[in-house]
Amino acid sequence: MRINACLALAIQYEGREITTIEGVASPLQEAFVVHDGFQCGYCTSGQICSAIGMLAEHGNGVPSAATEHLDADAVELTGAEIRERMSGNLCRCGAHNGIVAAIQEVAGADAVSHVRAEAAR
Amino acid sequence: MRSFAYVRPDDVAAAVRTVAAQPDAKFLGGGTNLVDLMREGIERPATVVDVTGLPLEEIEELPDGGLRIGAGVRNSRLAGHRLVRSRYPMLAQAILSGASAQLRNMATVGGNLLQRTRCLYFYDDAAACNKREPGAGCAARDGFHRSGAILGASPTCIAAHPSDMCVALAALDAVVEVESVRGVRRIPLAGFHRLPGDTPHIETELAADELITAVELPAVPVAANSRYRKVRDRASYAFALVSVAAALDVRDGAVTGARLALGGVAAKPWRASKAEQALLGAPATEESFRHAAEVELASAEGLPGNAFKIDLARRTIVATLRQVLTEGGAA
Amino acid sequence: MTVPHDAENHSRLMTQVESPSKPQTAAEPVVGKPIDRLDGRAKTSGQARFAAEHPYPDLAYAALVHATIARGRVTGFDVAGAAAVPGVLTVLTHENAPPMEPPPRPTLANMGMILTGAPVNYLHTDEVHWNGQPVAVVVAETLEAAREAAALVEVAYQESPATTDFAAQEEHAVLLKGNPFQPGTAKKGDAEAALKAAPVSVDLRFTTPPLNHNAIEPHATTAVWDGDRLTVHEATQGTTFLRTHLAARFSVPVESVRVIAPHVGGAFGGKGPVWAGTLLTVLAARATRRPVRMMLTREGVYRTVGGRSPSIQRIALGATADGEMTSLIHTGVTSIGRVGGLPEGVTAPSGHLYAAPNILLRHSQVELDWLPNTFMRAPGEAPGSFALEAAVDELAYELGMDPIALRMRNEPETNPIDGKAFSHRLLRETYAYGAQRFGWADRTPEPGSMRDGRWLVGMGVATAHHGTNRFTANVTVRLSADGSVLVRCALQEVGVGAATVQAQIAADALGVPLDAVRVEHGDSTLPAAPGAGASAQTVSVSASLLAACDKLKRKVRALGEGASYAEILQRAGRDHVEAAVGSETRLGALAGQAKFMARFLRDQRRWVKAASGAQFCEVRVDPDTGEIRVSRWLGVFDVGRVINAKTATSQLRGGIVMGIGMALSEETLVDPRTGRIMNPSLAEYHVPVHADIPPIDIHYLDEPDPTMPLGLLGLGEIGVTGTAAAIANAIYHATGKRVHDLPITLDKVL
Repeated sequence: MRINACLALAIQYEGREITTIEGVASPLQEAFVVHDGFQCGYCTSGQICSAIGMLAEHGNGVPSAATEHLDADAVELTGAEIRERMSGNLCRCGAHNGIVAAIQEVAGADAVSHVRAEAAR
Repeated sequence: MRSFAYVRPDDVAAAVRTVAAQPDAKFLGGGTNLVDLMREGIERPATVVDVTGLPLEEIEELPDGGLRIGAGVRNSRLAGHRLVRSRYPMLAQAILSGASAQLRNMATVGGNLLQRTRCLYFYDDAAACNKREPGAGCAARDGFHRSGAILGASPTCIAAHPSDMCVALAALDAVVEVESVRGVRRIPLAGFHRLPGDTPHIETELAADELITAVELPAVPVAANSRYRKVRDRASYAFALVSVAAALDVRDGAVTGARLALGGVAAKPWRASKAEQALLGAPATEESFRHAAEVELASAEGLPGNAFKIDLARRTIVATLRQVLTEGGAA
Repeated sequence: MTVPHDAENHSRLMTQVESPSKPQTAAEPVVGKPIDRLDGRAKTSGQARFAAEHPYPDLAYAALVHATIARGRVTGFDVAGAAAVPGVLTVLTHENAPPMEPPPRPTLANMGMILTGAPVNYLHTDEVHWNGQPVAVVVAETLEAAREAAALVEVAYQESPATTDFAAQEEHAVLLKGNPFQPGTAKKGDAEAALKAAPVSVDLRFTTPPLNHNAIEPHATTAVWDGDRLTVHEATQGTTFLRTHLAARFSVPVESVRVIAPHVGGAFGGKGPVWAGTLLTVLAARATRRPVRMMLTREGVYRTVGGRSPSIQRIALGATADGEMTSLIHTGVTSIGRVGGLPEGVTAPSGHLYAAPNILLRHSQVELDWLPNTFMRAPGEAPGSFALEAAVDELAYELGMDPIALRMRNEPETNPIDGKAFSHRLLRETYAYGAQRFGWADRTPEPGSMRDGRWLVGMGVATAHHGTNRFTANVTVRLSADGSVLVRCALQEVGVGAATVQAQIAADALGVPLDAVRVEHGDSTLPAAPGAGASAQTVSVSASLLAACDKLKRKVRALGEGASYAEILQRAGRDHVEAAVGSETRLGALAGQAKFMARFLRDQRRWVKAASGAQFCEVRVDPDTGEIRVSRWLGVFDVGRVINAKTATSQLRGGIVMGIGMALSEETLVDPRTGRIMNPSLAEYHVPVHADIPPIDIHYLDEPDPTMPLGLLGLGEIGVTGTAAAIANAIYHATGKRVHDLPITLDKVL
């Protein structure tokens, strides 16, 4: 489960297993490099950890604000879904496209279309 | 952040006893608002009573088809719950449009009810704020108040309640169960939060030593056909300028059931009862929706920086009702 | 400086890069390729350490106390509450702080001083110049104790009348005197008369709000004194100038100061100048004789690090009925802090874009009791291009012309304001290619005429433009007998891939594989470099690197013959050979600087050099709520040669993302009554989130500029220019509403 470290009072998590980027071994890391899903790298630890949690949430059928039908059994992980689900991770360098592309590649979704975007939601 | 004592009781009785014994104590849920406010120095409890270890994490179906939601249930779990998605889609949508997934994974139902306003002057302890310091004045009124209330505000305070979840709960006639050393009592959600009046620092009917233990939703068949629409300054991860929770039941072209509540417009989640009354029996048309919105907003008052929200609320009510009518609910 | 600087030399260098002069290995050329950034693995595994992530034994933590008045004097402190917080080591104020010198004025020999954020000698004055100025620093054993104690410091003030309302001061704006780099006024012909005479005209007023950089890494410093030797880990855009600055402020030799910053978590101009946090951390470390770390809170960044000035701009355009522009007037009012700041030259783009025979550019300023503003990505050109390019769109509609056709009709042959030659200008090509790729022909010009379901759809264009800059840079290159190459340069990696591109250049220049090259950077002990700014770092460093490689090859060839340079070294029994460009001595640096300036000015008299491009965007607007979503983007750029297709694309995209924020949601709310920033947080200052950003298609022409080393024009800032105008123009196309005031929030289109 992904949470915000900055708002987590450490003592509330006593006895819990905590994974930070230093404990991550995920294909997302290489995908972020290949798709240039960062520039300065400062938000990257959070983006990658968050993306791991996000993919798990999606795998468990959790809907998002971008989900059309809430009672559907499965939600297709479109670009719009990824963007909504990753919106809690800010990036100021503007690496959003690369981050989404990296996640899509690892999630096995279709590659990002850089020419025709899906309709805005 | 002020140094504080931390306790993590195992049962509700111990939790409420601890807070009753220490007037400077606060219950702590997911921490997404309280920890932030403590860091900003706005909240300075001497003791923090962590209630996430209490057995308040069940979501149970009630015999009448309603739901009983433990106050410790995390927002994301509630939004993902099968019965919430199918029976109360407006609630699932409201939660999912709030904050971010990480925050929803932390935030509890009880904590969501108690989150405090995002008024810029409340957050800055160099500014005058009657909510933070009764009698200090309100710097927001002649300052920045884009997020401020257009309904039920008072000369002392124009702060708005920031919750999305509560807007849906208000529309659904939710009941808040609270417990203290004096026992258990039930407060209708619609009456749980207070308008500012002359006491903007008193935000809810909850006594300082009372713990929210559960929120109960009655069976609301019309809610199966419902949506939540949130309008904000960016596409995601921002508080509402205006939000609308709407449910509609239409038979033979006429409205036979309606639930409507507004967010971002008042110090409390705003149940639009007048609009609901106007809708009942009316033809399910754009004109009826507009009329209902206007009835509800007749008493709205804007300031230079937030008057646009009156028009925006009207438009969003109409658009949301229209969407429920033409596309159905979000389920 | 021994950097070759004329066109003939450049073409020679470019040839070398394309085909390294013999001897060479069979290494594939890497310049131009989409190479992964060299620090990618460090940054995706948590290994990259930033300024506040360096552990020291006995490390103490500092926190700032900010003034809550805009102007006046501190009359006293009550630090009893703060001192009583367990773990507090000291509370430093102007009553007890150890010495720190005021910032000297910049000179040719001491250019580091140009980057003084605010010329205030913090904690050595009782004067308060802005709401938020640091007036005390608390040092404690823990971060929590420092911040809690800082909140408990009570400060008494005597307030003076303050000027804090930008809009109210407009009529008191003073015309800027200007300098050769940034003239306050520029004119050609009689623009006002031509405007009156023009059959078709627009005369418009635009406003843009104050903005903040909001690099995700807040400014942070770790300072360690060892006697009079100082080591600083810093979130900075340049270690060389910071070292000079700190040496002057703390009265130690420059050689005693070392600034280390291999990784910086975003900067965008905000980490260019030296701000209070850095100085006060160093001061706190000296006072406590402990290593001290201070990471500013987000609020601390807003209160102590300047942002972008607001602006009020007038654009008036006159044209003949068939679209020939006859008059262009661009006047701007911006703000500057009473104690300092940067003139935000909003009129800059209007001297370069349209072939109007009559042009008037005029820039005025108001002095406010605000924190001095500073560089923020494309200073002047970002807000200036919004006004100009939105006005051009309005003129096109007045004329009944296609906005691209109007631009092409007025595309100049020479620089409009002064008639100088363009070194290179391919704006026509960027529009032609972009229009075709974006599907501009599918656009129906009538506002409100395009829909997709409930959404109103609009398409807009605008021109992007950014002047090319170049500074001196020192570089050494070492080739070892094992074939490895070491490039040493105090260049700064703020996220742009700066080290990666230099490795690519060195690899090609020396004919070695990319992985044989290592680049040492981000350390003031390395050869001096200008730092990351003005879109000039890669331009500046690569020129020196090429020259150094050239020198190196001559040295190696003098040793004998071989199939590769490494082999020559082996045969000659040499472990390595090194070549350097630039002098590290004070006199040498001064001479180099003077020589460079002479060349620069000569060059500037001859050419106008700039990157340019065409921004295409599509927006959707909800007709009920006014919600605006950018749904599609194409940027086609002429940035000269591109060294790394991957990082260049990312940087151009990043600028566009920042422009989307500027267009739709970003605004620093300064309370006009108090001069206090009221939204100093990422919750209330709305930078774009993932859901706001559509796929952004980037295309660049990759045509080298013939007058620049390697043909580079710089690309760090151009992406943000034109972006807000393209969005405003698309919103008009979608809704029929012209919004002249940024940000274009939904209430403005209802």
